[in-house]
Amino acid sequence: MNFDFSSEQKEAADQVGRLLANSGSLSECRRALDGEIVMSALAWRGLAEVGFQALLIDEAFGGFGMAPVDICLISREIGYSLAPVPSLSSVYIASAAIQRHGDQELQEAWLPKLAAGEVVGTFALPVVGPVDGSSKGDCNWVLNASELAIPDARAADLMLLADRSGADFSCYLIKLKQDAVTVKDGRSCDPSRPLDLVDLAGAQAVKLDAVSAADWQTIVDRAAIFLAFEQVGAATRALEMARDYALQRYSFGRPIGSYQAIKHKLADVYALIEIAVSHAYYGAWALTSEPDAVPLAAAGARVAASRALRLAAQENIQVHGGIGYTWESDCQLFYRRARYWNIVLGSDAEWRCKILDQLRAGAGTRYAP
Amino acid sequence: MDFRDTSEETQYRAAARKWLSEQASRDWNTSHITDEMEAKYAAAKAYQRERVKAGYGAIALPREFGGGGGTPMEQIIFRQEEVQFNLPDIGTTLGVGLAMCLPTIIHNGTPEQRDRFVKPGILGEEVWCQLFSEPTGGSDVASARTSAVQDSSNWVLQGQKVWTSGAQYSDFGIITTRTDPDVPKHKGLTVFVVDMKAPGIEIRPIRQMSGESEFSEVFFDAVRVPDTYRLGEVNGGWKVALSTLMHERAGIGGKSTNLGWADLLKIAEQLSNDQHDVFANPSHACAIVDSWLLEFGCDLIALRGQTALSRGGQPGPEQSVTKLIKASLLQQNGYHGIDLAGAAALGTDRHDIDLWNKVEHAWMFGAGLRIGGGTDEILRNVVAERVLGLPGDVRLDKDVPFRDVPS
Repeated sequence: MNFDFSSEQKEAADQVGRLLANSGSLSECRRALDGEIVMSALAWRGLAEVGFQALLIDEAFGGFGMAPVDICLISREIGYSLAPVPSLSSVYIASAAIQRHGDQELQEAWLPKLAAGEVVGTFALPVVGPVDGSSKGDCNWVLNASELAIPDARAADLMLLADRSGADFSCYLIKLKQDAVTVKDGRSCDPSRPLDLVDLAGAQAVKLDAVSAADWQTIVDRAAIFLAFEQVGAATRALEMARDYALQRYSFGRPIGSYQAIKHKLADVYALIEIAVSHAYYGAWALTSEPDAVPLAAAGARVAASRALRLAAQENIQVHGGIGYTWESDCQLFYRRARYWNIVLGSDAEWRCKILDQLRAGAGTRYAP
Repeated sequence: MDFRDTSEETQYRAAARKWLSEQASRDWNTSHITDEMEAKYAAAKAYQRERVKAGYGAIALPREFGGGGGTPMEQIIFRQEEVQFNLPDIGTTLGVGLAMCLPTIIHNGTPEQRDRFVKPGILGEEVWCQLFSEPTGGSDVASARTSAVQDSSNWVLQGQKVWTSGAQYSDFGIITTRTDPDVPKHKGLTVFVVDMKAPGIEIRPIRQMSGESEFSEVFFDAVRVPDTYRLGEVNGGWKVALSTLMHERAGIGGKSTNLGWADLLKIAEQLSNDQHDVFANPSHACAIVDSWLLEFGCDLIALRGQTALSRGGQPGPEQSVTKLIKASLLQQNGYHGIDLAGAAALGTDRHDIDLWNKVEHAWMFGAGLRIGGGTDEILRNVVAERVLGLPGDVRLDKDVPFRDVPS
């Protein structure tokens, strides 16, 4: 039985944790809230120095060619720090899609820069309106669409657009820094993780013919597992914040943490976090050892992590009382991030349906240890 | 990261499986005993003798006391394999002795007490029970009121215990008593071994709300216990009792056979047909998904604990949440199981009676499981205090003589 990470993986994560602790992530989040930045360049550079963006990219393209399991604990540290960085957009989705499905030319053009953290990639949320595309020969297309919801578009250099709105599935790669692309602030519920609005007016795009709808879903599933590690990291931090405050705040002559109403609340948060951590671990195992187990493992990791972080963030405010409801308190940073992460890859309702489908198909027992 | 055994574990598992399959093909020769419970104990004792011979009797207890001298991981592997065979039930018969009482004697007893009790206990020749809870104190274990008064080389016990598993089938018990009511409660307790066949002991089964009788209340009227049966110092019983309760938390591993998500899924599939898709109802769908998330999450937490043991370490604090989660989950599963079938399920005499008994049992037993072996509330306190480092509760009874504690 070896259902745990290796000491090397833990040491690498500790190193990243120390780095992020020194980069003032919460104050960087606050700067984003105040509209000063759209991401923490400081934290992103620091992560690039320890090779985070390059971990899963092949050595041929400037990466380290590591296994998915090697990134998970680092993701947890990023979540714990709450660093406002586009790890989901750029590393878990855009880089992964180009690495897995891009042709040689695209890989050579983009992967070395993504690996170095010099460019940021992102992806479109499921498209609601029509995407009007016309082929210009080979893989070159021209696209028109309005108000596409794109995380991190103001920080990003390229985006992937998975279009399921028509009869056929299409996946395009679009450079964002071109005249035919307009990007504006979509006023995210968590400004430290922006959701922007993008108009394409005859924008040049490259169609990735090799990507099927199932391939795209696999990319999203894998990203959901990495993101679950970020979510449980943030949940742990929110619980620690609540615990620390409960020890220091006195009411009626006692620390409020000595009241069972508070103790039991926080014990329940801890329990849900441990459930979520365990599902995330299972996701890490599936990524490495059993691709067929990934759909259920990803859905389990995602729903459990979203639930744990939601509870941790909202009860953190509750334990803080009135001060927790002020703009100055850091409680809102976790509350906003919980909401953002919970919805950005699809709502609980959607992922819970996936769990049910997988259970009905027998995945709950087929791959269980 | 993988779920495979190490090569030593693989060998151990294979040997255990081979031995278990041989045992499962045996006739345990209890058909001549008409009383169901007595037959159960007779079979358990006979099987335990075989387990001891093969080194599986008390795997993790030291060899010098008749244990197997093995690791906790070997204990888990053996248990994982054992539950897959139809063999006599050790857990609900000899389990209290093997998992709680005998380790307590090994850790707290005198050499003479170890010589007297441990070997026969491990061999299953003597059955043990634990007598801690009282009508006035379940969670508050240190508030025991059953008194023990010294009379030369004996102690005389007076009082009542409750929720004792297997009392009427036991030869010995471990009991907490009040030996000094003039000091604060934790400082006036003494623990004894008590002969359950001694004069003055009366055992009455408790009928649970489910209709079953798994526990008893035990009355002590001038029961004489020799001082040689005292475990630990006079008034030093709290330390001994704590060491017994620590062992109560043994038993990571071994899948639960209670009503789980897979049963709910099965019920929903059985009840679905062309006209009626149970899964289309979001409330039912949610119940199954929630049940899987928590149950499988607890399974995975246990695997993290096993990993620590397999690496020669100690399981982490995360293990403390599984009983808390699973007890409520069982109650919910039972509730939803009945919901799935609709009003027709109010009548419980059904064609699919085995599955249905499981549903009804979960609904009832879940309520009990949230209380026994540490209530939900005590377990939340434990997590809050020992894991999160929050302060202990304000205790009004801590620094006053026990006799002045309000009750």
